Amino acid sequence: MKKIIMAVPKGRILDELNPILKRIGILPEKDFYSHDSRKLMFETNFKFLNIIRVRSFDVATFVALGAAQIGIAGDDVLNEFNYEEIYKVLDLKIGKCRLSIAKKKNSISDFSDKEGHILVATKYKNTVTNYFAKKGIRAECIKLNGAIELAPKLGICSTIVDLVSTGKTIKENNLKETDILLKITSKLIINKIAYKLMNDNITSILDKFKKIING
Amino acid sequence: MKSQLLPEGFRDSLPDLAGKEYLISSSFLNLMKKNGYLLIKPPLLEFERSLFFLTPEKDNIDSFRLLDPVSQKMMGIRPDITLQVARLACGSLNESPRPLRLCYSGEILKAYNNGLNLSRQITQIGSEIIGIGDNFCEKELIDLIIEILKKLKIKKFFINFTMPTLIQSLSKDFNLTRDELDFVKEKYQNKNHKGIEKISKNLEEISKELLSIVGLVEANIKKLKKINFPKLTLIEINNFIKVIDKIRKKFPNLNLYMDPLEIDGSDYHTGLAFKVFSENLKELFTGGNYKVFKENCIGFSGYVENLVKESLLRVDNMKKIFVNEDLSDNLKKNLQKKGFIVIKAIKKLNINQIKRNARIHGCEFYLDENKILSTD
Repeated sequence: MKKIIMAVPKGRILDELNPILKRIGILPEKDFYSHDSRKLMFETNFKFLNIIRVRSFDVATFVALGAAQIGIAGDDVLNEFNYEEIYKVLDLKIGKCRLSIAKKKNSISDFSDKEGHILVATKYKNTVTNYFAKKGIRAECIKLNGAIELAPKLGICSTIVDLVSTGKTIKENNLKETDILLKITSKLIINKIAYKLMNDNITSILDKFKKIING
Repeated sequence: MKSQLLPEGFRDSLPDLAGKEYLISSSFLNLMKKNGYLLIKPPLLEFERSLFFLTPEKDNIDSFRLLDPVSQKMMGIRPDITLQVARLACGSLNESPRPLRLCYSGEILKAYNNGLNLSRQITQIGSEIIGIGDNFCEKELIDLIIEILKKLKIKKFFINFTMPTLIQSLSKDFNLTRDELDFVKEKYQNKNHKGIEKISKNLEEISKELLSIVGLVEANIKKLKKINFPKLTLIEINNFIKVIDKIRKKFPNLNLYMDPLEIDGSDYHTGLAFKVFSENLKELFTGGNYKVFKENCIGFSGYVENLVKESLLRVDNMKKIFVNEDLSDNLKKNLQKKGFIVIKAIKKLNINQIKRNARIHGCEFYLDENKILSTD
């Protein structure tokens, strides 16, 4: 049977994931830790396991398509794509943050209940649209991929939805956090078909994670 | 002219692809015909109410809708032909002798595409046996699946068995409320048992063991037999084991897998359901038992688009010959009898032009004064 590929997200979550991988005993080749390396796929000390390092939003897509069989992705990403093809098997309790609504301080609201309409700058179009739809409000999303806090400052709209961990960026940009859409941690995800057909190897990796996470 | 942009999820099948798709559908239907399956061709669209009569309580959001200008009623374009077979089984074909074997091949439309299937227009092929009573018909279907996959040159495949109604039996055994059932379902959907202990410690333990039963049939059946199940669940598990044992005995060399607690979208299946996957983790066929009112049925279907990608079948293994415009009908028929695809010039050409055109149109041969010559 084919090799198992694990997709991990670049950046902040990876910094928290690395110690876990180490404790589990999954040791990727040296290039994995180098920011200069152009490599995209890395071997590990397990012959049947390779690791790919991709953008956090892409982890879920790679796993859903079966290109990678295991992945680590935050609830924000999983909720946004809501793929049917994956299992969220384990809460890794890392990458803790929240997806929050923030508004310009002292702003007059973008919407009145009567109009049932709001303009939001966000990276999470589906999550935001569904959240407001449940409240009977039509959200029009302006898709931004970063520096979302700038949108109110520069007059694009007065509401944003973005990841918040300490709340510092929000405060510094003269915004206030008004609501939490989603509490987020990173989950270990597995492709449904791979879980059936490559169960032995996948379970052996899953069990290692479980042992470390659940103690 | 620049090509016109098509809507997302729709595409033109150009000659090579269209040829392969046709070959797959026709091989399938031929095989079914030889095995006594009757071809049916339900319409592309129906009134919403009849199309979704099996699951009226669901939103059925995965289909295109349009308003019939004549009756002013809402219509839906079929997202799955199985639904229509069920309607026929208890409608127009209600009186036909049982078991009733039916097969079909046709286009379906899905409102949304997903990660696994980027198309919104798909050709679905399938076959159903209506009115099987309590008989063991899995063997017949698996035989057919093996035969069609062989014809399509898909060498390696895996069959995974699931129990779609297992969760209902567990729910009855443990008297779960609607909310508790939803909670447990969500947990099972992610192969997770944590939190179920708040409902019942015993259910959590059973869930934990059941969720670990995934993979090859042999080892997992043994594990399944060791678990202490409550009454209704036990009956269902025992039936499942019986059928799987029978299948294993009939097909000792197949790659058989199981995942009893798999929860997926197909909510009309009862008893045993299965999916056939390719080596590349793509879904080839899906099938299983279901009930249309009081009749037990079994069937399977697949998407030609998925089969095309996995099939090593080659469309064009016939030799092509280029001939002049004035070739007689008799000679043409003779060439076709010999197995040639005959491509005719549309005006009278000299022999050099014939030879050149033969190459342009990818013909290995051309006809010169009734002599078959190679273009090389």
